[in-house]
Amino acid sequence: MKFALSIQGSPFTSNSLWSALKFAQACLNDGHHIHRVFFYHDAVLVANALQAPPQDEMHLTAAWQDLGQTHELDLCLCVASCLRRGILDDSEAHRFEKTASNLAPGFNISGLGQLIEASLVCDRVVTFGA
Amino acid sequence: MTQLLFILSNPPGSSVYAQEAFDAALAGSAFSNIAMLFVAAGCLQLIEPRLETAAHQRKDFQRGFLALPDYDIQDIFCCAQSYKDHHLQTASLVVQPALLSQPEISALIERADSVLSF
Repeated sequence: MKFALSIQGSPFTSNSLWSALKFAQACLNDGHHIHRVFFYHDAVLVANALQAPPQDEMHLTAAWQDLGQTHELDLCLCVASCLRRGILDDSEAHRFEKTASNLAPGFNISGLGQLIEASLVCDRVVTFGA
Repeated sequence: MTQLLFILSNPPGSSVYAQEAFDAALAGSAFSNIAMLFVAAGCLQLIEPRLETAAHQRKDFQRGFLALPDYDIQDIFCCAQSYKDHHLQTASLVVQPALLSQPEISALIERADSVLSF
C-alpha cells in the first residue's frame, strides 16, 4: 500500500514525531511504500540542524535522517511553517537576508501542494496531530 | 472529481494551527474538490472575530472564510453536537455551516477520497 504521512506535532511538546517514526518503520518493514512524509505546523522544528540534545536523550532529528537516508524517503517541510519558525535552507536565508541557514541535511523545504499531491496519489494519508 | 475532506478541530486564537490548517484547505482547493468539516473546538473558528487585531497576537484569518465561494469551496460542515456544545449562534458566525449528525459525519468521511485532519 502507498502511504503519505502528515506530521504536525512539536518535537518536544507532543509525541507526534516519535509515533510517526515508529509507524513509518513498521510500514517499511511490512513492505509498504511511503510516498512522502510531510512536516507541518511545529513538526518542522525537527529539521533544525542547530539542536544539540544531551547524548543520553533520543535525537529525533537524527532518527528521521537515518530512516530517510536508508529508505530514500521524501522528507518534505511546509515552507510557510518553516519561515514562521525559523527553519531556513540556504536559498531562503539568502532571500530573507538572514545570517545563517539551519536546515538539517536529508530534509527539503517545499509547499503545501506536496501534501495535497500526496493525498491525491496515495492509498492512505495518516495524520499525526499536534 | 477527487474529493478531499479537511477536518478542522483546533480552536482559533490559542495557536497558529487553525490558521495554518486554513492555508492547507485553500491550497487543496487549487487541486481538488474540497469540503471542510469543523469539529470539537474547531467550530469556534466559525465565529466572526470581534476583537481588534491589535488587541491580540493572531491574524483574524477567519474573515477569509467569506472568500471560500471564490475558491469554489461550497461544502462547509460543522458537527451539530459541537455546534450545540459551544453555544454557537447563527448571528455571530462568519459563514453558516451545514450541521451534521454523527452518522452523517461518518457518511461524509466514507465518501471522501482522502481525509486530512488538522
